[in-house]
Parts: sequence; structure tokens; C-alpha cells
Amino acid sequence: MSDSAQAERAFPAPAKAYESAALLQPIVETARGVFGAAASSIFILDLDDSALVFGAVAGAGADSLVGKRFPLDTGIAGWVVGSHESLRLDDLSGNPTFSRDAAESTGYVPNALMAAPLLFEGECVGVLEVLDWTEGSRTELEDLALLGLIANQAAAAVRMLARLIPEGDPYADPRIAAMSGQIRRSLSRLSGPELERRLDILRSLVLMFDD
Amino acid sequence: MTEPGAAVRPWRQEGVSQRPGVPAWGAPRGGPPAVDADLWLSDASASWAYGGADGSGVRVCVLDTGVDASHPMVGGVQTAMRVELDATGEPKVVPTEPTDSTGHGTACAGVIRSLAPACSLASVQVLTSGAQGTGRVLIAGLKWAIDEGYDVINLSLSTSKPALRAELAELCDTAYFRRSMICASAHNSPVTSYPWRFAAVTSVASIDQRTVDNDQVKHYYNLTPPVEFFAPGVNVQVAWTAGTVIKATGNSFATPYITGICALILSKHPELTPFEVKTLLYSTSANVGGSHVR
Repeated sequence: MSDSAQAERAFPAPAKAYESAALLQPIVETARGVFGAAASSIFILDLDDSALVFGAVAGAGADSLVGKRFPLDTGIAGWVVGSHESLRLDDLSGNPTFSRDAAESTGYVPNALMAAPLLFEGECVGVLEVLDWTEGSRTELEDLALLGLIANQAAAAVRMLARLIPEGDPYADPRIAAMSGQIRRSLSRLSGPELERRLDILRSLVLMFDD
Repeated sequence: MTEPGAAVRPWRQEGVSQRPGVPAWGAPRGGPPAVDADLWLSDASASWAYGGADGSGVRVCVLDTGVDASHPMVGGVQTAMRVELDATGEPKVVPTEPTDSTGHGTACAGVIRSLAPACSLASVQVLTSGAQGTGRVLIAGLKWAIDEGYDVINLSLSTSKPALRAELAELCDTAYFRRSMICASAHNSPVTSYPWRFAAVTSVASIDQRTVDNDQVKHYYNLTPPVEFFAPGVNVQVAWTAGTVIKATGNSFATPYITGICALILSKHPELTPFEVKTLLYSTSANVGGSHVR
């Protein structure tokens, strides 16, 4: 795999949360609003780690889940990635699999779930999920079709995000990369109180820069 | 040449992709239009095609997440395999335990078993390792099922990777000539994916049986392919993990319904070719007219 392809597949670093939030958060907010749902999430596929990563969350779990990851080979989201198909499941609350997965990853146990793949140029780049929606005038099939349309938008956003990050990444600047390398090499030769003292100095410098 | 003013037949319309305003590929509310067909095969009623059949003697293969053989709605599987990638990344089909961590394959198997209780069921896990090597795994699993000569192969999944199109099409043609029926799910979203779009397979999307006049469980023919048949796929009760039952919606749950009907037809008429089985699916569709309509 080329370096650029690997970079495109990698989940954006927390330092790039602004771009991620700007592109993805409005989509999950829209999905949540359209369906009157308790929550909506975008999962981004990280093939190198065989994982799905919470890229954006609206509603339940919004404060704590972004950046969390779980293995690709478990759960409905994993099935959606593998099958490229969408689906809707109801009456999940009594299902032990769902309770366990949900409790481990989100702390929220859904009773109903809809999921659609994020497909872009033939590749699945993630999954859009909606949990516990309000029944409206649309039929189940119409709900799935609508979710698919929103997922198309999310797929383009995730792809765009992956392309944005390497180009805009400040760590790509060779001067910054060299400086961080020097610091790491210097610190790696130290231990004990001397290491702690140097780290304190660095923390103070970082605070000063942030101010 | 079409005469001026002549109505264009639905299946001759150009660029049929999806109907705007209704579910992508799924049946519209109220069901598809009726087909006023004066069928020459007027004896090919549902009772002739599969009445009294139970699927015995027919081998069905489910390519999915695996099947939980212990689920009461599944009633056991005769063969359980999975596709794994070896050290060089080459896919191999190897025996495995009949389990399903996700539930989807178990749901499909349960639907098939509910229609054809005496059929022989096989499971091939092609979706357990996430997205890594998905295309090669799917093709390896499908090739294995065709080589093993299964009568009906259920594919409640698709791929939107254009690079796989040619190889999948070739496999589906091979299956057709070897008399393996492939029943494949149409996508639920307005995207192009495979293999359901191929003429050699039988493609299936969902119908909401509550929105049609007759809500008895039946299948319907679609006048505007590439989706050929609609089957119950909305809010259907399906088997799931840990022996549970849930309600599910999606074309992937409609497909095993048609797979089950094919198993019944082949159980009663094992000499039929996929072409003839598909013709019977057409002639027994709830919206296809004729004196034989049930």
C-alpha cells in the first residue's frame, strides 16, 4: 500500500477534530433530526487496524464516543461494512448480543437500529447508524432509502476528510517533524527524576505556546 | 420501431435505476402494477409448482456471516464452512463450527427453513473478517458453493466494487449453466452493486406486505428490472443471535424467501433449469394474471 493510500485510510488524529466536526457533525445532526432519533453516529473504517472508529455522534454518547474504536468483525456495523447492504432492526432490547455490545461501547442500549454503508467509488469507508427513532409517516423501506441518501453524503464527507488531513497536517512540516524527533531522542536517554524534570519543562512550554 | 403514441413497455424504459420518491429498488406502496399476462403455462400454478413440497432433496447454501445451527428456527445445518486468508493472503474454504456472531446469516437460514423445512442447509462464512479481503473472500466462497453443486445459493449481500464485476459475472454464468440458482439481494440504497444486477441470478427486493391489498405472504414480479422479484422484507420476524428473535427490514431478508420458494420448486421438480424455475417464480407471482392466479 502506498504511503498516501495508507494516510487516506488512517483515522484523523484528534488534533484534526475541527475538520472532522465541521464535515461530519452536521450530517449526524441531520440524520438524528430527520428521524427524530435518540442518537446517530458515523463510524469510519480503519482497515489497517481492522476497526471501526466513532467519527461523529449526535445525541446519546455525543460527549464521550468520538475517537473510540471497536473490532470490525463484530456487530451490525461490521456486517454492513462487509455486505455493503443496509438494514433496519427492531425489538433489540431483549437481545443479549446487542445489550453487551452497546454497554461496552456506548453505555446506551438501543431498542431499534438502522445502519447503512458509506459507499464511495465502490469502497465502503464507514457506516451511518440511527438509533431509536420516532415513527413517522414513512414506511420502513422509505426510511432505509432516506438513510441511504444521507449515507451517500456522509461517504463523500469521510473521503474528503481523509484527503484533507494529510495535506493540512502540521506534523507534515519537516521542521516540526525534526524538532519532535530531537525531543523524543533526548527524552529516551533519560529516566527517573531527570526525565520528570525535563517533562515538566516541556509541559510548561506547551502551556505557554497554547496561551 | 415504436409507433408514435404507443406506450413504452415498462421493461423497455431506458435508464431505469430507481423510482424517485419510493424506496430504492423496493416495491412502491400498494405493490407493483398487475401484469395482464395470458400465460401459455396456464397449469403452472403455485399448487403445481410447489404445493405440498417441503424442500426435501434440495441442497441450499447460505453465504453470509455463518449460521447458528442451534437456533430453533434454523433446525441444524448439514455443512458449515468459512473462508480464511492464508499467510500469503490467498482465500481458502475450510470447515468451521456452525456459529454466527452477528445474527444475519442465522436470520436468512431461518427464513429458508420456514419455507422449506426439509431442505439441506449449508453455511459459508464470508463476512466474519470485516472488510479485509472482502472481495476475494466472497468470490472464493461463491466459487466453492458452485463447485460443490448446491441447487440454490442465497446471497443476501452485494459488493459495489467495479473491479469485481467481471469475475462475479463469470461465476454467476457458470452457476446458471450448472443449474445452481443464485438468489441475490438488490441494494437498499440507490447505488450500483453486484451480483444482483446480473441476468443469470434471481434478484430480490422487499415488499411491505402491509401496503398491498392482500397481505398474505406472497412474492411479486417487478415490471421494471433489474430487480425481478419482490418478497416480504419489511418488519419480518427473523432468527438472531443467542436463540433470540427480532424484527428486521431489508432486502437481505426478502432474498431468503425467494430462495425458499426455489427450494420448494426444485424439491417437487428437480429436473428444472434455473431458467424454468425463474419462469415459475414469474408465473406464480401474486401480481401476474391469468386463469391460474391463486
